[in-house]
Amino acid sequence: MIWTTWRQHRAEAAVAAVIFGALIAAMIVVGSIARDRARTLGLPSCTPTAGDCGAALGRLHDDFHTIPPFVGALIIVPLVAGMFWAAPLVSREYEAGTQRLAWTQSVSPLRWITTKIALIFAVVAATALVLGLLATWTLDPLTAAFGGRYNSTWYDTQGVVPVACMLFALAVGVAASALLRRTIPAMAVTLLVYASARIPIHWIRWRFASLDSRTLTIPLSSLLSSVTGSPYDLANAAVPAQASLHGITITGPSGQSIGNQDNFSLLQQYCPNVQANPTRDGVLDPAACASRIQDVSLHATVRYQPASHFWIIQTIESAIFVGLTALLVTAAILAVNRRRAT
Amino acid sequence: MTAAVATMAAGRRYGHFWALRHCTLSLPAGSITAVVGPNGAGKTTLLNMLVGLLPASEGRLYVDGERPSSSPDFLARVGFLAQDSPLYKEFSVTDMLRFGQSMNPSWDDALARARITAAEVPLRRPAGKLSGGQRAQVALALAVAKRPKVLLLDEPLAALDPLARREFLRTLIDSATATGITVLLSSHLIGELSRVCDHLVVIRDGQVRLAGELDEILGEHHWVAGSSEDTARLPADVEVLSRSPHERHTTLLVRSHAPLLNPVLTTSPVDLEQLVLAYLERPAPSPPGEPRIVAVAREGGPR
Repeated sequence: MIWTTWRQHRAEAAVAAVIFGALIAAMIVVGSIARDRARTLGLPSCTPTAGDCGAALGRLHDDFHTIPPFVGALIIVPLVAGMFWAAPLVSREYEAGTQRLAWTQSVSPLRWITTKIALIFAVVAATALVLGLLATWTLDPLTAAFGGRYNSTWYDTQGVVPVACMLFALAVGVAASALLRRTIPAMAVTLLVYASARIPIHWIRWRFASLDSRTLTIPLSSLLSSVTGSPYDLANAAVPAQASLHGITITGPSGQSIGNQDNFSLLQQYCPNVQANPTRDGVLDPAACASRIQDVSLHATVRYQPASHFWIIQTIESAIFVGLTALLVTAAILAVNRRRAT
Repeated sequence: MTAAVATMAAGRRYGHFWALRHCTLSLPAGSITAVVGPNGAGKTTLLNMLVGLLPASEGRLYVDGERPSSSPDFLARVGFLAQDSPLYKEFSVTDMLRFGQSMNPSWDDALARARITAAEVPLRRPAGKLSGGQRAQVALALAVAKRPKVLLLDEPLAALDPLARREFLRTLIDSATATGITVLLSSHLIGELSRVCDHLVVIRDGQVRLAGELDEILGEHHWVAGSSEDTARLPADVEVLSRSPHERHTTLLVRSHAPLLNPVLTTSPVDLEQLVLAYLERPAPSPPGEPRIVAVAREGGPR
């Protein structure tokens, strides 16, 4: 049975090995270059708050801005495996009539399908694990320059989520294959089911761990430094590096909610005579206002998912998709066990 | 002697359509049985049920004393050559043999290779590029080399030219007599099967029309010719299968368990092909849907 599985899938395995090798080589190259560049820019030792640190990150971003689309393209790897490897698994036997050959040897259909699934899933999961961990290493020096690991192209290709995605895609393919018994419909269903399960997860995964929050007091006088800015900019700046922001609430001195308005219109409520500074562009003139707003402050609360929750969120998401994988694999096994002559 | 293949009122329904019904057979171990009937008669349904690829809707089936299942133990005892001899197209013949070895603990590799060599099938050629005859030979080698007790072949001759048919049947009979296995093969025509089989089952429209040992069947059926008056006065237990009235005399095809000793009638033996056709042409023996044992083949062995 093991030999049969190998013989039937060695062509796909060869193609996959070539792609896998190319991806590994590319990741090692990109990872090494990115590390060198980050080192020459002095990034590893620089603290996020320092001014020139931001400039260095900007340089790194400019140098490597072509990389994220390639990284993002990796999210289709599980889909390709599911559609082209898993979806034909059972259906092509039915289409060629060879299920009548395969399931009348001295191997029960139950063992036939479980052996195939076990071997293919194990190999593919191991591959995905290597790719996921390698992607984590490759992208690590670039992470700060591209907004952190919650950036969806980053998140989906790193850590253990790629393994769960891969298993899930294969399970969708195998289940569709065993239930529909036709390859093309099984491929189409794999595409639809995989996409419709993976896309919504982007909207809800930030709820998998409780958000951290930070409150800050914004003296109105600090708003004088920018006409077009808003208190939300200051709140935004308070979000820790590489965290993903999930809400800012700003209340006024009497507890009323402050909408997203610019500093100028906000200050006008307290000192109607406030004007732009005639000598410096973009800055308000403190003279007309300073005394009125001296002791007035806004209160901001920012809620965000800190970078430290990355692994817990990845683990929960992986558990969900591994659970779905188990259900789908069970469905596939049951369908094959109720083998059919046609 | 226990029956190697036995079915008891077995039937298979697809929706409201019965592909096979009230099928009761008993085939002794070591027998070679031809299951004959037109396309769509229910032959494939019967064989698929026997090998466990299709669950029976009613009745029971036994192969080598066991009900068909997907257990490796059962599957190891049944060799199956499916219709159109399916093989993995991209596998070479060697790969197909390796497949058989990988899938069957009781695999007899020497036997398989001997069969392939005898059939002069090139070992390196992909199965998809073999001729129909070669494909059937490889499929037969696979089915035989797992050393089954019962070998089921679904229309193995359908795609073969006359020469390939003869080769295939010779290989089959060599294997069967060498190993003593029970063989059940289906075909839409009796043709050259009459020389190799010792039992016959005739199926049409999902019903068994005739089943039994070949010699016995041939012994029981006669052409009877005589005057119209004489042929109308046959004993009550003589079953008339067909009647061809001419001006003065009539020719009948009859089934009679006792010899016909009436001197005014001329009797002559029947040809198997004509007999099968006569059974296939007859209207259905009973209204469909009535449970009834259609035919029971007597078990083999000396009487």
